[in-house]
Amino acid sequence: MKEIALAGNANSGKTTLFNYLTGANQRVGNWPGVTVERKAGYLKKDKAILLQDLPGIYSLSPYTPEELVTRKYLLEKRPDKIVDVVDATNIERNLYLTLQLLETKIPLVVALNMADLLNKQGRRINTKKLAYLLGIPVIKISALKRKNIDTLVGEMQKKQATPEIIPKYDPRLESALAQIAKQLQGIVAKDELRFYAIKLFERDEQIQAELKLDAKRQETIACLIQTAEKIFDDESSSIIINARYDFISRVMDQCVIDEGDFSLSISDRIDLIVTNRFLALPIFFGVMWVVYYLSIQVIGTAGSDWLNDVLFGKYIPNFTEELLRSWHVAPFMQGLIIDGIIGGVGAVLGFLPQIMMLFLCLGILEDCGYMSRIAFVMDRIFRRFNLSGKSFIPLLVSTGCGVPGIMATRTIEAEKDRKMTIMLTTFMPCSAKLTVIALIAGTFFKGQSLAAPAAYFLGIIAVIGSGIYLKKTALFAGDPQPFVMELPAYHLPKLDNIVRYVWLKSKGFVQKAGTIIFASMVVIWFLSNFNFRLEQVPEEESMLKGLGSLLAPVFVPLGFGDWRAVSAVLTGLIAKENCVATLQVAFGNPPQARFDQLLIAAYTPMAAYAFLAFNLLCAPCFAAIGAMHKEYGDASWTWRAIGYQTFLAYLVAMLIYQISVLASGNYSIYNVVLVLLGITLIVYGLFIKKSKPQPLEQTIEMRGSEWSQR
Amino acid sequence: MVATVILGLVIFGLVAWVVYTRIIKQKNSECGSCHNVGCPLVDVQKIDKKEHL
Repeated sequence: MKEIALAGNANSGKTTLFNYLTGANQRVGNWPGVTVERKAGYLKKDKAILLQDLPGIYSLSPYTPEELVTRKYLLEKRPDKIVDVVDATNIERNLYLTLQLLETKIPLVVALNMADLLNKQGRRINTKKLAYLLGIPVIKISALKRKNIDTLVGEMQKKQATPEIIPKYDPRLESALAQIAKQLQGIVAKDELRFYAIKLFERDEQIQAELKLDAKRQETIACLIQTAEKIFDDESSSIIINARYDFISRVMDQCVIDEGDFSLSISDRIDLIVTNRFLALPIFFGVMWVVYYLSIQVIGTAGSDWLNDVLFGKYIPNFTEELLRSWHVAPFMQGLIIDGIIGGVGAVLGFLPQIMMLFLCLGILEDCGYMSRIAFVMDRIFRRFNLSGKSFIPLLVSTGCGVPGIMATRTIEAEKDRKMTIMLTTFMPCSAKLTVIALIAGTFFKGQSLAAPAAYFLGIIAVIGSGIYLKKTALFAGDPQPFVMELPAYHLPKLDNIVRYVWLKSKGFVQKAGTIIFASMVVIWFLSNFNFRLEQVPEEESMLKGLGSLLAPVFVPLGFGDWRAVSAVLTGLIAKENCVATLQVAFGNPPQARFDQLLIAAYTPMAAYAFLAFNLLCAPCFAAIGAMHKEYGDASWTWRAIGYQTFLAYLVAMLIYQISVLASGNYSIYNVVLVLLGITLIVYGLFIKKSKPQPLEQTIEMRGSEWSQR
Repeated sequence: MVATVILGLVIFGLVAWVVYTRIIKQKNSECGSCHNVGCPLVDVQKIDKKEHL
């Protein structure tokens, strides 16, 4: 078995190439940080080759979790070969990593990706010359358009010797490195001498700890570094960085030909408008409004109406009822199957067309490159409030499912920002919460185009507001971390990418309905049809009513202090789709039109919106809570996050309902007090509360790390 | 009566299977993956499983 690693900068196309080479269906995101951990798969054309897709990185310095994962893998596992995926449109920056990969002395092949975009840039790269100067094979490819992949595969299959040519830097630096390498002889393998010498020269603490050199060697090496620093009048890590960029500059001079003067590309022209300081936000809000309105309230609704009224309203229940009667099945079992399972699962599956439409729109926006601009635009806004734009990428991932969104926080290096983002990321409406949005918008706000998009914006506002407040607390105080991201060029969305995206989301939704929701519905039907003495009774005397009624008074200020809605909130903790399915079962599984009438009779529109807001912001489902716990690695942090989310959800839902009561003119002193209390808390948290100063130790540590990265 | 018993066994058997595969087994595997496949750990887990076989 041969093991080959795919390495490269973030967003250089590694995952696209990995998917094509292995036939895997890994998520391909058009923003950096999609690959958080390494993934593996066998090469489609040669099952004897195991391909490892490593996270996108810019260097082999241990600054970020991705760099740590990659470096640990390369040094400890030492794959048989590395395929370095280089973004040809940003070759200078990408070669910086290539040089470091060369230093590991692992056989290397450069896959010059996006070579087809070079013409548009007016640039040509002489790959033969580049291969000669680097001493390794260089293959031009387009992972997206699948060009020249066979040549790359052929190169991967070849047996390749350890690279002989290694970048030679300034002779004075080379001399220092050679002397450090001499100190390491017999301690590390011959092939790894240069890599370790450079890392020791950079004063890499992890490598120092790993090598455990004796005091004499440590002193000699420290002396060598200090001498070099005096000669270059610079700090050792900067000497190495400059040497690498000097080398790249020489390579570029010889291999890259720029054919024209700099002129604005189409992407640049679009960005002048889309990322404009004043236009960016209105455009974003406009786009998301169109996406949510069209998917949830217009186009998707037609398909959902058919599923609810015809398929799950008539065909399936009628057919099943006849079948069960012919089999002489007991009435309670007929009730379980028709009202519990078909009614509950059908109520969730009915939203499938809306979900497919939404993910079709989001997939197009992401694939064409618009979503990465949003991360860039949001960084500008987040930064004003001391937040990092890095936090926005997990939020984008969360629009599919909160679990990978929480995992994606691993791309955030600053521990406090990461913990805070884990806490906030599930505020975004995932596909499960979309069922609640679609139910409330479709039933209570027919024809009101802002109802569904407002839920998405409520999620973003909750993230920004919470970020402002939490950054003022001692737990999260600190400067925002720098956010470097590369904006990919706009391109027409690829049909297969979009189809795969929609297919994966829809498949996940249907699978969940057929498993978790199915099991939940059996339990919920049982609870809503039996009393505590296990006698079959109407819903009004059931165990579910008894349990829901216990907590119902807590939700009275939110406008839905009713056992059915409270039961829906509780079962939503298993999976948010259960909110919809539980309401359907708790109301006796009526036909769609009757269900709408019953809901409108039971709740006011703003109480229903408060129900939506509460479910959007409160503690997420158990799967997401599990992911939070895993990422925090600590029960107290998990409880803290759940507590904050539930408190905020309660506050926002209460304000929505109570303000609507005030606006109706039919209010009491009780409503006024609740509104004043809620507004006071928000104003205090956002505007009056003073920021907690950062502990001195952390400030010094941070300044130090900022300085060392310069 | 027989059909009722058989259907009951099938339905509650399926519920037990869902609880086992989605909750109990998930906990043992320490994998927080969801079925939206976007989870970055899905492939790693699959490969790990294959290696253990």
